[in-house]
Amino acid sequence: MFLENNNKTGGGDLSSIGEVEIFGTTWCAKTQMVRRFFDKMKIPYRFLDLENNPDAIGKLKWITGGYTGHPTVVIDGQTLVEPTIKELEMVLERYGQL
Amino acid sequence: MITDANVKKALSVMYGMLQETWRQLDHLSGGTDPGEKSLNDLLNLYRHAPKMEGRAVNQPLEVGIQAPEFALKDAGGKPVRLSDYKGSTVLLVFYPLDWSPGCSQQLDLYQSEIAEFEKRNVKLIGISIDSIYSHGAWSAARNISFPLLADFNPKGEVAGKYKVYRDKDGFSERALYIVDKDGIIRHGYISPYLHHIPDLYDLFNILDALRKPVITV
Repeated sequence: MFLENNNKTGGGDLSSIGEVEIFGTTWCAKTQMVRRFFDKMKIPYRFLDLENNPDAIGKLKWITGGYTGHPTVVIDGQTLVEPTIKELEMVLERYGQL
Repeated sequence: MITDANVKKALSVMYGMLQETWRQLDHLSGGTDPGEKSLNDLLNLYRHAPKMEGRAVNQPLEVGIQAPEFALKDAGGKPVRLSDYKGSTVLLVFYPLDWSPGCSQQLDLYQSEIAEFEKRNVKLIGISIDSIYSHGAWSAARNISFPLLADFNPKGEVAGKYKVYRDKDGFSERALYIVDKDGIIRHGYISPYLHHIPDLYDLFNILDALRKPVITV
């Protein structure tokens, strides 16, 4: 499913997984790829744009101990810094989503 | 759903460790000899390659004009002309260099979205100053299915025609042109910085808007 230009949320409804947050930028290819992964999986997420949201940078630093690499994905409280798609699939598998 | 906070925390730490182990194993998957390089090593070379972060120095051609014709060789040495695509919408992807950090990620992204481009009847063409042999190796390693054209000799001539050549660097800007079925430029974009990959969501929105019929009163 492709989403209209919406920088705040994505995907469809998948209630069995907790909140998903993606920290990144709109110009980062890996962030785009991760967002599209969740779009295609129809898993809702909150996109926090690190360039247009100063609070997001603070939150990311707090989560990662100061590291601002992107994308950083938080799934149900678990933090994944610059995850590969394979790693995201492993996490989703734990939730029975694959 | 795991509800117990302590159990969840322990599992998260454990899975974090597992992911790091997975990364290490993935890195070593090429063979038993520690010095042996794998395809993954080759694919991931860009991660440790020198950065490419310059500001854009050009402005794109204006929308509404005829897109400059070109004839460039693809990785197989076959000449490809823009006019070969008459009747189709074409996305011209000018990028600086094969194997470089941003370009590897950008083309991986487009390849992973190839179905979305096909759904919109858009044909992709990549263009850089690299040789046909570099294009052949790079596209084979990354499984890139759309043609990569060699703007190799005269170097950057086509990039120059499209006003995206960076004279001082000897390669092109990271730029996109959408050319319609009649060969008219409908959209031109140059990334403000070389390491900025155009927003895919914006690109799809523009492609969708261009497909809508224009209503004149």
